[in-house]
Parts: sequence; structure tokens; C-alpha cells
Amino acid sequence: MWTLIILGGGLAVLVLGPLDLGEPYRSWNSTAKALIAIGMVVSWVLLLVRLKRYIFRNY
Amino acid sequence: MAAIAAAIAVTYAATPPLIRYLKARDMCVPDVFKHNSPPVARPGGPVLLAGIAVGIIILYWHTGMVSVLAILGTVAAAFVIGYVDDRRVMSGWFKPVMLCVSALPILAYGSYDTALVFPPFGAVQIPILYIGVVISIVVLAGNTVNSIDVVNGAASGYMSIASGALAVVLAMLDRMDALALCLVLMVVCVAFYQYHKLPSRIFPGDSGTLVIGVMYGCVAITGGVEVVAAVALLPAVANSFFFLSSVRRIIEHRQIKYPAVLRDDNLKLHDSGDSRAPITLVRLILRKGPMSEGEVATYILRLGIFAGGLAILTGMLMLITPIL
Repeated sequence: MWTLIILGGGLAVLVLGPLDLGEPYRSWNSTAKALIAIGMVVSWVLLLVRLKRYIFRNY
Repeated sequence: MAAIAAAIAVTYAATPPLIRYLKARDMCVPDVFKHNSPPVARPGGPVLLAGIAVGIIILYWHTGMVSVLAILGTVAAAFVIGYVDDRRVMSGWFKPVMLCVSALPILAYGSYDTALVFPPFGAVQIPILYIGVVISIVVLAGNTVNSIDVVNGAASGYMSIASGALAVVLAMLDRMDALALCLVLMVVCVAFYQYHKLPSRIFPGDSGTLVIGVMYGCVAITGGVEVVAAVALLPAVANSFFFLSSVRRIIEHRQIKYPAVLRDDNLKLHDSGDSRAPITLVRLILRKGPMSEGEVATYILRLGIFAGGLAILTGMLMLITPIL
């Protein structure tokens, strides 16, 4: 979980932050960044769900 | 120093009278993991709020920082929400929704930096989105600490360790205002732990766990160490996550029908093995085999120390993080 937080932060700062869709889509930059950030959080949650299912697979 | 000394003195001295007061008014709940489930006083929220309030007021008196009063407003609102939940069993949505409202004082004063630092890579400036981050931190920190209060001493012991780790990081970063607030929180938790540890004489209740959880969130926001604070809480976050993903809705723990943990006649705790029961951190710990309540509490505190170590490591990475 810790590694994923650090790596996710790296993606947010190095890739997501400077993301620019260019003209004429520049006004959608913030929306795109927010959606991608939400997608990253959802991916993190899905990964944890799989981990939980693996640990409790006998139930 | 005066704020820290006063906070620890108030919490340590005021808890025994509160225990007597609560017992005299039959404000007790059964300690279900003991023989005959003896009654234990609840809630300890008033002394936790008193300790933090005294510390914050002395800090304000010395520094004149109005921002600390905004934090006190948010913490006091969290106490009221928790106290209502202590006295009446509210729906699972009550605490998260009302905690959003409790974030208003800190939002109104704006005592935070809108840069979210991701060590060691850098920071992102999110002036508008940071409002959502503040609300999320207050709600998640409060509820996460509330969810870790599962065995004697777990919540106060865990938060002593987490706030201690956060204090080390704030000292390394030379953020003295937030460090003073964090030390107030830490000593209040340590003082309360003396009465909350096994065998508990008092439980913090929802009012107590929300007070220390929300205060922890406020320290993280004020100190600009949101990621570090989240790392120190990771085992508790995992506990909340396991719970929510297994019951698949927001529900008050007292409304759970199927027990996750059972106690045998030798006072050993077992995983119930019931697929309908929620999955929790304690259940995960008990996958190793039956344990006494003390062993489970020690295990949780060890996880806290491990997460605290990772938080300090994350804080060290902040020292090499490029500044905006």
C-alpha cells in the first residue's frame, strides 16, 4: 500500500500535473486530470479488493 | 511546553473523576471480551476534548494564531457529533455526513496551503480541489480512528504512536506550529491510554475517537503532511476498507448482526469464520490463530509502529522533495 501511494504520487506530480491536451481542448485539462486521478484511486481500491479476496479466499 | 504540560495534566487528572461520574449515572457498556462482560465507563470524549482544548487555548494565548481556534472549532464539532452517536445509535451515514459539516471552521479560516506534496517527487497545486481534500481528510481520519477502537487500548495507543511519528516528521521539516499541535494530541492520547489500556477503565466512545481522529487530520492539513499522516494510519485505513468492502454499505458497527470475532472460555479470541460477518483488521490478525485480547492489542500497536516507521521514512523523502 505504501509503495502504491508513493508511486501514485509520482504519477500525479510527474505525469498528471504537467498534462496538457493542447488547443482547442485546453479548457478540459482540469477535468481530464481529475478524472484520471479518480481512475487511479479506483484502481488502488480494486487492487486492495483483490488482495482482500485472496487473503479470505477460504470463506 | 506549557500547552503540552497542561494538556497531559488535564487529561490525566480529569479521567478518574469522569469515570466515577459515568459509573454513578450508569453510563457504561459491557466489555465483551472479558469474563462476565464487566461494565466499563463510556464515553471518554469529554476529557480528550478538554485536554486538547486546554492545549490549543494556551497555544493561542502564547502565539496569537487564530488558525488554532479554527482547529478547535472543528474538533469541538466532531466531539458533538460523536457524543450524539454515543447517546443514541444513529445511522451509518450520520458520522460521515456530519463530519463534512465539522470541517467548516478550518475551511472558513483557510489555515492551510493548497499544495499537496507527494514525496519525493514534488507537489501539485490544487486551490479548488483542496477544499475537497480538507473535507475528505476530516471525514476519513475521524471515521478511520473510530473503526480501530476494537480492543482495549487500541485507539488511544495507536494514535499515540501515529501522532508521535507525525511529530518526528514535523520536527524534521521545522514546522513548529503544527508540531506544537501534534505534541498536544500525542500527550493527550498517551495520558488517556493509561486508563484505556488493558483492562480498560474507560472507553473513548465515538466522541473520543472522533476528537482524536479529527485533530490528527487537522494537524496533517496545517502541517502540509497529508501523505505522511495517511501512511501512519495505513493499518487503520485497511481496517475501514476491509469492513466497507465486505458489508458493501455504510453501516454502524453496532448494527452488525453476525460477529466477526468470538471469545472462548479461556478468553482467547477466534475468527468467527462466518462469511456473512464483516472482514476486519482483527479478523485478519486472528488468521494466525486464536489470541488473547492483549495479544491482539499488542499486534495492532506493532502494526502502528511499523506504519509510523514508514511515515517517518516518507517524511525523510519530503526533505529531498522539490519545493514549488
